[in-house]
Amino acid sequence: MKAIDMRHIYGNKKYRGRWVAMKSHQDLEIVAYDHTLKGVLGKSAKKGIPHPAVLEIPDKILPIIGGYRIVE
Amino acid sequence: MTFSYQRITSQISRPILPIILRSNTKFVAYWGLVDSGSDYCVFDQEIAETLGVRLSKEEKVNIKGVSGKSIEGKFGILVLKIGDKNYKVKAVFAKIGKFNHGILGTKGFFDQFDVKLSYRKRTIEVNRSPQVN
Repeated sequence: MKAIDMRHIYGNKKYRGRWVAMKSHQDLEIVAYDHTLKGVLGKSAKKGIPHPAVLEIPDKILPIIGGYRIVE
Repeated sequence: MTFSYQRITSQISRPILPIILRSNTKFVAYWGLVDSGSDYCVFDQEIAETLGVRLSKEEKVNIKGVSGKSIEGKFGILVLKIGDKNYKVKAVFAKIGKFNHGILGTKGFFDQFDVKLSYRKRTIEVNRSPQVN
């Protein structure tokens, strides 16, 4: 099975630091992007996609080593 | 259910699942990283605001990433849908924007499913498991 190729989304500089909305989990065409989730959902709804699949693209794409931990 | 890894860059592929997060009246289609190193599921705080998830005022946690920077997280309950399975999850909500997708951890994910990852095949096999305490 091939990995789902998201490089066109993560690699596009205009999406860095923004929420992006894709048509669905299966159709990864970008329909909107914005600084906030509320904003991107609003833009997507105006384009006739009220329930897009959303993702926040980080400013920099860096490898993850370990996760978060709860501290006192 | 078998899902594919996501190719993030030419060097990085991650086990990220399509998920639906729901409250009583709203839902958001989102993505979650399968992370056996996380004890809880963690989602962005903006998701809670959008869905109207009530966050606990008493039950707060400070979460520290490898950067050493601490962020505040609050517990909230929502419905998580993976494949055709819907179930309630008590998750941590925090400003994890830089992390960019949710985290599917032990409580709320691994206690619901048997999971088999194959990086070589780029597959994530997720099968319902009996409820464990």
